[in-house]
Amino acid sequence: MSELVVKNVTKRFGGLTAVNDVSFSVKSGEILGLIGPNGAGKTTLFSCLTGFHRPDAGSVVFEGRDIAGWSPNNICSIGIARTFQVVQILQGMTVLENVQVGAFLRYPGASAARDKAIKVLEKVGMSKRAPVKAVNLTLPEKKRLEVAMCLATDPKVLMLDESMAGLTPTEIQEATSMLRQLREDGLALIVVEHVMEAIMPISDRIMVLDSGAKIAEGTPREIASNERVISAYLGDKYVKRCKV
Amino acid sequence: MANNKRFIYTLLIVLGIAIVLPLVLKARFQQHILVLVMLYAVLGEAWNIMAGYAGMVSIGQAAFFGIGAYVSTILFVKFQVNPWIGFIAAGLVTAAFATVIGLPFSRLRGRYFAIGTIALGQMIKVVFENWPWVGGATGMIIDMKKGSFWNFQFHASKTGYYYIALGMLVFVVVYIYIMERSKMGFYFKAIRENEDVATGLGVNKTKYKLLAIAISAGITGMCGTILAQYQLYVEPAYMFDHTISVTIALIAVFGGSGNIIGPILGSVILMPISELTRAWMGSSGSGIDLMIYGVFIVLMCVFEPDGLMGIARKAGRRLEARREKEVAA
Repeated sequence: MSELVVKNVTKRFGGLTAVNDVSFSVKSGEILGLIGPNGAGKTTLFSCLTGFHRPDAGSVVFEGRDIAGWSPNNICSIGIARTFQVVQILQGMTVLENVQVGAFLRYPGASAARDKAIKVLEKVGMSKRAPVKAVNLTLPEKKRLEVAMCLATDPKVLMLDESMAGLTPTEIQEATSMLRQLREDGLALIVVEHVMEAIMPISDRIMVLDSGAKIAEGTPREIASNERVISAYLGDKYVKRCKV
Repeated sequence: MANNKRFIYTLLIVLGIAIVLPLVLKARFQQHILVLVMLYAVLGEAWNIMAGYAGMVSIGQAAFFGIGAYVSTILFVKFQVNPWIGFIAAGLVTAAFATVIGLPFSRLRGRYFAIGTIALGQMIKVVFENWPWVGGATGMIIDMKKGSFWNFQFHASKTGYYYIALGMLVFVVVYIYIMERSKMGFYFKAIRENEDVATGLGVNKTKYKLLAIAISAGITGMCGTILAQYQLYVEPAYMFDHTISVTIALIAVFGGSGNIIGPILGSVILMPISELTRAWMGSSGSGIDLMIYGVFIVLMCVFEPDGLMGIARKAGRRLEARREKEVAA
């Protein structure tokens, strides 16, 4: 049982405050949905938590250690993995090799890493694509590969940055059932998503960011009827019109 | 796995040919070419570790090469240390130097790294040119000793140098073969493909970049010792020559970087061309070899960026497809 506790994290780029005093927590066996309009700071928040950016203020505590400002590889090795909004894979290597790179973190031996990679590929349903060069995959496959690479590092916290964008409804179905499975396995998931049909049913809680600040947190039902959230997405006028 | 076996057998056959070759080609000039082919094959492989696998393109290998040459020579001339110890010391000192240099360098990405290495090569050359203790621009002469394996000097025939370089090549090829299949090899390739992904998956990129640079530099430095013993003198203009850096990179790119065979193939084809044109054209032809290189490289870049090995692989695939068609028909 582990918990990631984020307190008052702030990240500024020059005059722009991309993430403003955000606090939340997520624990094993839980899916936290993270939504917000474009430019709300979701991806920057991810980067702060995984070491790609150093937060200007605040703390990120995982299993009793403040990991704010750690390097990405150290954060990954204590069990926090992420995917990228713009899909990032090792293009010139095969699918299996991509996953193997992740697996080497916990299994330094080549054959052990290979076995682990094969297992992970089975889990995400990509075994058949193992010998294909990653550059030749379709976009949904690439996104799935990215998740597999993260899973190969045996994470306790997994952060997915728009892994379901551009998927067909059936593929979204598959993806959400995979996320549910991961939750049952005891992972803590933070999921950034614009596809509401995907994120609303699976999230235990949802947090909403707007202009870098957290404006709401609650169950999907609470969020759907929250006035501030609606105005952030659709504008103040829309809220007023609804009331009339 | 059958593929692996075939690959190893092919390598062993090539090794057999390489061992016999100097017994057939006995003329001094032919043997000179053989030594250079071997030496540059090793240099190409060393470059390959750093650039082909870990993605850090270096055009300053001469810095490591020259330092290696100077280390063994200084030890021999000033302290009468056996060149074999100097050979090992050259590897260690160069690797250590590369690690220190690598710390700031490993932060540079892509072409900026390449530009940095060019500057490094030039800087080191200037340092040695203005260092009186090691002979400044005139360099140092290595005293003639009785030609023997122990003395790392061979006068009657050049085959001794050839076999030492061949031994190194075998060592390096075996090393890369194992590395390719290990965690280190995978991490090198991951860094080459995408640094952010690699670090996101737990790869300590600084550590692995420094490892790649140090290993590559160490091997290159040891090659420097071989050339120093071969020429029996060292001077900055020759040992730190920028042409060496360029030739190393060209050979590996021409043959195909990122795999074991490429640099060997590149050296076997390009080095004889460069030496022969130099011999045929005399001093009026100096630079012709580089022009020929240039043409080759342009052709490669346009038609087959994966080098000769890319062509070979495509041909292999086409053959296989044809065979499958025949089987189906």
